[in-house]
Amino acid sequence: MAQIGEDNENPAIQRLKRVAVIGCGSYGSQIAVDLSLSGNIVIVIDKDPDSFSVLPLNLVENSRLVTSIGDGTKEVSLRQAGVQDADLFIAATKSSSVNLMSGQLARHLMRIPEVICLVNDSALVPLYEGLGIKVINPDGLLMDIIREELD
Amino acid sequence: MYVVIVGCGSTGIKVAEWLMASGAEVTMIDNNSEKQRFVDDVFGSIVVLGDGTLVETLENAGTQRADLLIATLNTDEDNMLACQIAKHHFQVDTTLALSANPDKAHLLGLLGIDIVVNLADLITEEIQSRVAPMLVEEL
Repeated sequence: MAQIGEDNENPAIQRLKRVAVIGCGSYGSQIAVDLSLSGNIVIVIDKDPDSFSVLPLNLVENSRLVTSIGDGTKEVSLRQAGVQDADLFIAATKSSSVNLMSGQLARHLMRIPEVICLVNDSALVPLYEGLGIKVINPDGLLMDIIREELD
Repeated sequence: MYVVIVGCGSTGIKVAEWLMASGAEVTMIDNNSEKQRFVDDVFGSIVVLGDGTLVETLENAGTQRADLLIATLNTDEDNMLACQIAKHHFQVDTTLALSANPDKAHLLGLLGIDIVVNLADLITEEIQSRVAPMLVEEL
């Protein structure tokens, strides 16, 4: 994180952050667009080339949002997409197991500093947080909102 | 507390399980009899079979006495309809709709649905808050 600290001393030359998103489904595509619009360079990887059709063309044409066809659980696909230079890796496919395999590949084999996996089982959160991966449970976020409403 | 959940998808089932564990009475609605059987096997008979965007089905599910209705169908349009029937026909106190489309989420709010939840937005916010110092906030 040292080089990031140096960049921050002069915000004008702050380096664009590179974010890799695995899965271009309903979660992955929106996360990729949001993070791209807030000024990061985003690479989206999906097995299905048709999945990229939901992405706004202007972002893709500016190369602010780069698409790559590949399997997020294969190191060769990730390297092909240039994921090894990413500052942040987000595994956002429909499958929790795919996300966890992809996330561990990114964190432990490719040494990406920040890795977040979407996982639909809150019981798995402590296990994988212990393994150096940040875990977000989408249904848990909904329950937080309902809980606030009921209180 | 009586809650009607429209849609027996994985999110609906998780929320139902959690609400029942917190002491709420829950009825679910789904038009797929296999899903009905699956959920009834796990939780006891809590599923009304039918289209959750119809007044009749919502009435069969006891929506008239519900404190909260949660719509978790696949499209924003269906969730809007279920919530509006609940709110305006059955006078349900609070309606919550899941929305998959950020443009439509705003519209659903304008149409009087009390809580509109776009899960992808929540995930992005959570990502931003957990890795905030790293990410460029504004260019």
